[in-house]
Amino acid sequence: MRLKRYVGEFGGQFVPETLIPALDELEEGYIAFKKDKHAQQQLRQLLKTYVGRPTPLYFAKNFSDYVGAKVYLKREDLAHTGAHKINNTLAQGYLAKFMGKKRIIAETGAGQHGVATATVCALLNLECVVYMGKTDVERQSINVDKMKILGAKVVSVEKSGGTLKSAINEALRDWVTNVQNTYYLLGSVVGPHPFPTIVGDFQSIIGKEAKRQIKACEGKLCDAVVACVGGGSNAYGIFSAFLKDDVELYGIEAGGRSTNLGDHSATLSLGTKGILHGALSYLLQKQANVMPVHSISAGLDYPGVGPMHSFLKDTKRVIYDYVFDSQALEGFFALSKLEGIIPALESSHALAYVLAKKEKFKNKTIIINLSGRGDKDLDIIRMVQE
Amino acid sequence: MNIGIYLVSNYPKKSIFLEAVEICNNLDVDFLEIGIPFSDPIADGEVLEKASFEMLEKYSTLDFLESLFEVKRLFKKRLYTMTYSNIPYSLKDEFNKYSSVLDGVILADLPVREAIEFEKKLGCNIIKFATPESRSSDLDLAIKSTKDFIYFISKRGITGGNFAIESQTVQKINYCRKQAKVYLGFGIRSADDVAKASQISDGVIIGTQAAIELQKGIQGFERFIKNIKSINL
Repeated sequence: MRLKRYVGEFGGQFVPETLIPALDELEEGYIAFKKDKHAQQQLRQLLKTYVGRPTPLYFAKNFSDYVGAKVYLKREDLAHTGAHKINNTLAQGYLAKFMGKKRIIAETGAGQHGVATATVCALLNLECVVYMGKTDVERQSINVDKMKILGAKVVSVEKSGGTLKSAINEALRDWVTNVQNTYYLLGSVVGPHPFPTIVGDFQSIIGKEAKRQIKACEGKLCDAVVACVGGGSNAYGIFSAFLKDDVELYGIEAGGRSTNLGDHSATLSLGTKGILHGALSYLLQKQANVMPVHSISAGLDYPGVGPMHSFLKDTKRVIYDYVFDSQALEGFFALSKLEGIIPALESSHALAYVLAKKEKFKNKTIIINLSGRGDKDLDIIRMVQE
Repeated sequence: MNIGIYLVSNYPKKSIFLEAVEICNNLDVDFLEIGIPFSDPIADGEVLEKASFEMLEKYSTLDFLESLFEVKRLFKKRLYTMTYSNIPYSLKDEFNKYSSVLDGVILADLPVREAIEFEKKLGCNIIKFATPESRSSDLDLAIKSTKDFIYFISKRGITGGNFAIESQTVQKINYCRKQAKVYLGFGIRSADDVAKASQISDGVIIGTQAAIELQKGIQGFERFIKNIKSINL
């Protein structure tokens, strides 16, 4: 093996022994895929013509005036399927094909990763099964319909809370049973090694583009980058390009209803170290059992977080903080009304943080990663307003 | 032939669980594996997952661990616990206090390559796995690092289902047996299965079916264990 299993003390491969050869095969496949010039060329071409990359870096003048800072938005919401998730699914879909796999399984919370996986499976003619918690199936029905239209089978998971965590449990059970012909297309920088590395790499295109774009706009780097963190793929995607620069990085988690355990998903801010879904990372737990979590945004509703974020927290390279559901809603409406851009509730957490910390960001130049668009959240918005 | 029975701690309730432990002791079961319920048991099939979730509603993790002391008093032979890595990792010293009565710890989400380091931190014997997917390098690592038996997972997948072993898997078991004891688990549910397993291994672990029998009643459970043990006579 050539990639590191751990980043600091975090990461590892805490999975049933049966999956170890498959994880090694994945690592070897990924290394070969990265070296294959033809495959990389094909992927680059599709990221451009199919996904619509590079996504714009937009100077949000009205929002900037409102907060008293110079705010740029990295427009991942304009990527095909409406979020950054497609960067990873397209690349992993190609990797699965490169490795000769014909059946794809995935988990999804908000449904964005499920839709992005189903999309790529349609494009690449791969069988697709998506596991989704029952609660999420109900609150993200449009995405369920989309997945079905795209040809995916959606399996609703009722057990243990019926959210993203339950979906990952079932996907892992499927994988351990069908490991010989199945590729598990994980949607975030979580799970056993090498998934965090692979997903982090495939999302790093966000940061690479943003860095080039901000230099072109400003002639220099920005002062800060702000992104929301659930599992942490959009945040790591944009942060990774700036880690060695003199740029402040802020990862914003879901504070939910309150800071009581069970009311939020602020894993890094309020959790402790533990092991879930294959990796050692921060975790929301009580007596070593993983606790139910809550967020208004289904995409942040996860009790764990990618191991690299745990490392970046402990080394203090990234500041992790949280905003509450109500603040996220303020961010949602502010951007909609000021800029004519309806953001995803996940991304609204990053917007809300900047709104809440106006003093901190005063006269600074910042990039907010607008990881997705908000069409999928309209049912929730309607419910909250009622 | 060693016969091991897997019991979910305190299932279906503490008094019946302890009776079941006594029955296993009286019927000379060779070892017990006590399951400490965990919120996300990804290696467990429907039966054991349901049993775990029911127990998590009724008892705390410390209650489950506390029961290990009572099991130790009632059961004279070898005692193991089966759970997931987060339990010993997050409970640390608290877990160590209870693990002192154990012959070993089985962690369903801890592959051999992680177990070697984990064992040093935990300071107790961790059972190593092999599976139908294991390559010869995996088997060698398991053999080299084992201080006890190798837990050979008979099939790809989760606990429960039927017992069936591929011929390639038998070869892998034979390879391990040259240098270590091999016990088979996953899908073994009847005296017939035990008889088949005894041809190719040094022991078996019966989990899902034991839970099903125990759920039906303690007498049925006793008959089931007697029946299994009759193979061994």
